[in-house]
Amino acid sequence: MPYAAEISRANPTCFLFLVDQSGSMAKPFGGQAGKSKAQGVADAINRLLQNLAIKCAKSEGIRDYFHVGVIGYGKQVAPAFGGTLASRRLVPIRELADHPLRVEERIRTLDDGAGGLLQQRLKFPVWLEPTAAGKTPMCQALNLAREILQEFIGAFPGCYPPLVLNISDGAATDGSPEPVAGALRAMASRDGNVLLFNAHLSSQVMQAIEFPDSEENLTEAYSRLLFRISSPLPEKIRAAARSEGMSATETARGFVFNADLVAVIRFLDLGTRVAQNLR
Amino acid sequence: MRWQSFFLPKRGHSADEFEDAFAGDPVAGRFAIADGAAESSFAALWARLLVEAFVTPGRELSVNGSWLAPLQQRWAADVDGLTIPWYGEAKRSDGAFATFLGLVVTCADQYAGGTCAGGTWRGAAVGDSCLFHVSEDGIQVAFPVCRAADFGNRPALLGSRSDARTCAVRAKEAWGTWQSGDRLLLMTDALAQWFLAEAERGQQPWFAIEELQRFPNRPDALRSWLEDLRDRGSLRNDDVTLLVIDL
Repeated sequence: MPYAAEISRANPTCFLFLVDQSGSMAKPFGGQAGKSKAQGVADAINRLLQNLAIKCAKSEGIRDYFHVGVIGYGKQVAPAFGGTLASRRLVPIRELADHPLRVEERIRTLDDGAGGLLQQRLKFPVWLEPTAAGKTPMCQALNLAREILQEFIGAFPGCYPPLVLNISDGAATDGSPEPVAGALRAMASRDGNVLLFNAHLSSQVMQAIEFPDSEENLTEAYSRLLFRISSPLPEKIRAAARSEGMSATETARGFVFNADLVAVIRFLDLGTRVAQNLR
Repeated sequence: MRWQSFFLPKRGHSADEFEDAFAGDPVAGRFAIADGAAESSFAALWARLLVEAFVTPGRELSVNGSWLAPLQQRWAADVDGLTIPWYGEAKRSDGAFATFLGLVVTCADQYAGGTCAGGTWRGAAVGDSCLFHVSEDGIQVAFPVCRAADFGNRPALLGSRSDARTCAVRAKEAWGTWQSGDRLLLMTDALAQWFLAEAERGQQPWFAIEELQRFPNRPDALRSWLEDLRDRGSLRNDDVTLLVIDL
């Protein structure tokens, strides 16, 4: 059965993020008032990286279950890490966790369960700054992803299939991404095909959509395109999504609209999980 | 009453990454196993606190809030002062989690020589750490999981920071009577799932465990048996703990 390989330090998997940094990302983000799409993407990536690191955290430190890369596409197509990680294509999660650009402190307001509010200080590491310039060479980014994954799969041929998470407003300027996305999804480890998931950030103020199973309710052409190039969700991920009350039918795809993909990280199996409602 | 313990870390993990815990006091007739949840931090410590507290003589059987609260305080006292990097803080603040099974065995029929002809056992469980009561006729009781298909990766858990009052609702209890010659087996989930799957397909997995008991001081015998099961795909790669109580 595919998508069953154990994720371990000896047999890690790979998360590769493709981040739209084109000029159009300076426009307002429909998912969150007062924010540009570029800010929305940077926040989403920083949150995803933070969640990946926390997922691998144990009492003694952090375990290298994941190798992680961020490719920006806009004025150029290149690895987007800054600081000591600059120009690195893939970085083991421990190294990533130890080298954010900075760690901000944010305040979260919570219900204290007794009618009052509780303020919680949270550490928010930042690896990626918002950028918006140039065109949208999504095809080039997908091609670079293929190159990077070829190397990763060569090193870990039995790995849980690498996950590529593309975050964009959808308007590729270097041709249709469908053929190159198809070639990316055709790559495989012994455990199954590479997974390509897409998050479409739109300026339209519309309700978020998560893991749909058809194009029917997607009103924007770019949404439909990104839906079409997204991989179907593997069965285990669908089951995990359903156990959290999300609808994920048998034909659901790894696509979200004006939403983030953080849930995908929760759905990966690293052993006994702690249900959300127990935390 | 004789008891033996066997344990082996998940393949690819070192001994200090083992997150199961067990404890036993044959005089008090109290035994416990716990399985720290992989996706939580400081779970081995939490599992150990649970089992050690449970086997302390004189305690009630109940796994309830008043039993749990002081253990939660001890866990917090041990970890809250530690300086850890940002990525460790989230899981520390969520708390550690573990499944748990506690067992109290009592003798109802003591002979003059101190041996016991029979008695009762009572178990309390949260999650999928399991107890099997095995007699010469096979499995008498499987508790709290009865079918191999019912194991998942989201069992009920005892949390080191969860509201202690909700715990009484989550703990299941069972009891039974035993006779001399019976055995009680306590297993964490991976081995328990194998044990049930074998029984479901008409095998007698308790004989494999009897075989293992012949080499009590040979960790290599346990390792080669379990690694073979893992190689064949019969045993999930996970920490394994087994307690065998010969009555």
